[in-house]
Amino acid sequence: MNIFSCKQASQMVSESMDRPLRLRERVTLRMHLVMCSFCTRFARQMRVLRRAAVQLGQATPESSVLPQVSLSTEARARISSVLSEG
Amino acid sequence: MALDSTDAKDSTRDDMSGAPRLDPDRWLNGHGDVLFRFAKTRVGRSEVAEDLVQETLLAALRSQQQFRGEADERTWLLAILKRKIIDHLRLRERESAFTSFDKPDEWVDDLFDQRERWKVAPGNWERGPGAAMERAEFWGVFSNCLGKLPQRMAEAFSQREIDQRPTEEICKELAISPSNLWVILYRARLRLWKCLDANWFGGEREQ
Repeated sequence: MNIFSCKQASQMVSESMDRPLRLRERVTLRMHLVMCSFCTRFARQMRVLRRAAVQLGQATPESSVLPQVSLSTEARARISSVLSEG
Repeated sequence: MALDSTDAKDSTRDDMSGAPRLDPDRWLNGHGDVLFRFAKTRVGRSEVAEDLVQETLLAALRSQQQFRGEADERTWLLAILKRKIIDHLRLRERESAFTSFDKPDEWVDDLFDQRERWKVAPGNWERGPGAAMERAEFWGVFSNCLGKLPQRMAEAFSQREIDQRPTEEICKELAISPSNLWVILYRARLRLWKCLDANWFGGEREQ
């Protein structure tokens, strides 16, 4: 029985985050993960990625979790002049 | 500074005359960077985020009569920005109806050998993820990685994972099928994962 390649398994791990897998897919993925420590690790790290993204989304706009970047001087000047023209 | 709400409600006539206390340059100075950061997290590229800030402030200027100080000024501006981001997603997708998500992604293919096994085995993330998220530097790396994603991937990922929106909604806005979205998200996640691995979690690699 086919138990997925690592490539297929990684895709199934990702899709399981966006849709419920079919029973067959779920069973096959589980069989692959039982035998493949690399993909098990990958699956765990996908959950870390999701947790980080959620935390970023829930951060208040003032939070240091958001990238500490600023509008460039040029952008600021451009926006200011557009605003003054209304 | 938030508007004094009792003041704003006092006289509707003041609102008709253009509410002089709402000063666009003050918005730019007081909220510009916060709006920019929010936008950048959702669209990845700085130029796009700058344009969105500009559109937001312009829209705010044109609709300032609607702002009565019930909400905090920044909350009001952020609400406009969120709408502008959605508009931007819709517009972009119309402009680029035929793009590459149905073609193979060489970058992804290159992670696997001919038998579709990992070329480089996923490493153990020694630097604990929980601790990472408490470090400001981690978020800098995360944002950089997000900014390196191709535009469409960054946007799909942000909508799905950062704003946690249902896939059906995203599909509707981007005018793509669910399976297309799943493919885009897979490609985006792999890129982010690899980027975080290389720039943060990698550290000491066991051989």
